[in-house]
Amino acid sequence: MSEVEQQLRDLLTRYAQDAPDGHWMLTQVRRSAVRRRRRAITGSVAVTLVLAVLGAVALAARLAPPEGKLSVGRDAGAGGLVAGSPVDVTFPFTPPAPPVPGSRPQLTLVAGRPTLQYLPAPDPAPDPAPDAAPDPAPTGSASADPLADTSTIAGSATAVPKVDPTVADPGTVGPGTVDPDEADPARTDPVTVVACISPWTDGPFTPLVTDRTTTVHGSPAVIGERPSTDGPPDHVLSWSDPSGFWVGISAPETLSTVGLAQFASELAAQPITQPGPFDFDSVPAGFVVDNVNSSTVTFRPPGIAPSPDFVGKLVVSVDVEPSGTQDGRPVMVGDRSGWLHTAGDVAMLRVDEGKGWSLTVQAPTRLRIPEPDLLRFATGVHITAAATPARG
Amino acid sequence: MDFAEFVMARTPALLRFGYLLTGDGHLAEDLIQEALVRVHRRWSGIEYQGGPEPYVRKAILHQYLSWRRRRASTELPVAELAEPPDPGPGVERIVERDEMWTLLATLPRAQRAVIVLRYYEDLADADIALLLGCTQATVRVHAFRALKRLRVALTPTAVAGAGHVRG
Repeated sequence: MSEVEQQLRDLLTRYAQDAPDGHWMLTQVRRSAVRRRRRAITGSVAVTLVLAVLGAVALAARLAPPEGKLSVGRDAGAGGLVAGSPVDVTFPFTPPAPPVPGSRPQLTLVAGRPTLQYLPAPDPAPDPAPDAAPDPAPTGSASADPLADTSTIAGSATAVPKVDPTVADPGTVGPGTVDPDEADPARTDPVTVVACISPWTDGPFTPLVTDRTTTVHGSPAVIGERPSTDGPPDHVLSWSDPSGFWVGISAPETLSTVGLAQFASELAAQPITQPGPFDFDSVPAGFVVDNVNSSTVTFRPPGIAPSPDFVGKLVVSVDVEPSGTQDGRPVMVGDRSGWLHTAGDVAMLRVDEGKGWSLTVQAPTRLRIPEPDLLRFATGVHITAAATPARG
Repeated sequence: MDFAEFVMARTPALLRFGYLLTGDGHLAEDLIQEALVRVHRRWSGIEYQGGPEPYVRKAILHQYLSWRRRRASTELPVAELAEPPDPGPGVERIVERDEMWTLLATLPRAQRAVIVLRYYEDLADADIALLLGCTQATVRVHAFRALKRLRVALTPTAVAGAGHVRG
């Protein structure tokens, strides 16, 4: 080693001692990460608004469609089919380990809100469709699976989970769902986390009885109780998170308020994404996705508020029931065979997907979607690897 | 090791590394903070891939090389070094090293990165090449040119004191 090289080594060693200590680094990094996430959210909202404006312009242009153009009913306030998009569900937090032993996180969209529920892990059972694609892991902004451990989001056959007894109407649950009581032998409400970009007005996580206040992610939070339909009141916790989301958690009273607050604090502010069960080539113009789970997607028509039920909505689901067992007349849906019949005020189209699976599209007649449009819409529905069929 | 534990444990070392790269305490803090924010977003993916430290070091270097390139347009180049002070007895060595520290600031960023990685981190050329995403030959070229530039720029007194040097 030359003398200059030795001088360099001595120099660098000596000057390295002048480096700052950086005792505040972790705080600064976290703050910076939160600021960037907020900017990203703001940017996404801006893009969404621009797209909404462009969509509105396109919608206005379609209000007077040319001769022969496919269109849906006038009372739907929309016209024709427009290009569809993925219905992936993005949740703004990476969930921690299950707060209740034996449960697994499942990410869904309920009434337009990303919802994370810890449901009982399903018992191993023979797969009715051996060649079915495996459940995909959710993907986050990172290149690797953010949940590559025991907290992997479940792709179970359980469909739209029970969200909140004060909002959900059990009588309106549509096909592809199971009784939550069957999903949870312990008959306790699952731990549910909901994120919303604006304060909710229906108060699903506003405690009827306030227990105490606490702090989550540096923000004030309220812990209290709300009645449960199944037994003792649920514990609820809600706060306005520094990430820009309003977050609410409900949990059975078996999870202590201390445990609930601890669980909330462990929600890492890193988004995760659960792929949807279908890709849509096209959707009726003006219809908005408001419920997504591993087997079902619902679209609400224009002018209808988001809700967790299926009433008056366009519903797409995948089931293990073969299509041939249903009544109706045969129709061709693209190159697939299907059956179309009307039950009451709902047109129901079933399409044989093979493997013992069938695709079901329900369209209430009051949506006035013409049959050609319905068939065209169903033709553009593609089951993804993320789908898990509901059992009947 | 989760992200917070890593930052708490490794920040001092990372800051020393950043300080030697940038030559400025505030810039070093900005550099490390920026790199850690970027790493934080994909932490769960990298912590199982041979430990996070190499990934973080690489992120710092990448940030340094691209970041310095952007900042270069706002910085004024140093046309000439300041007149070296008159070295008094016993302080020649210190003055010489301080002058070398000033000279380091005039090196292209890639050359300075190689110097820091080779003479402070004690990394082999193969490891440096992996971190910088280049070949070992490129590393050797950077090192050769940096050393040559330092030798030429050092004051005659220092060069004379160093005797003849080998590349």
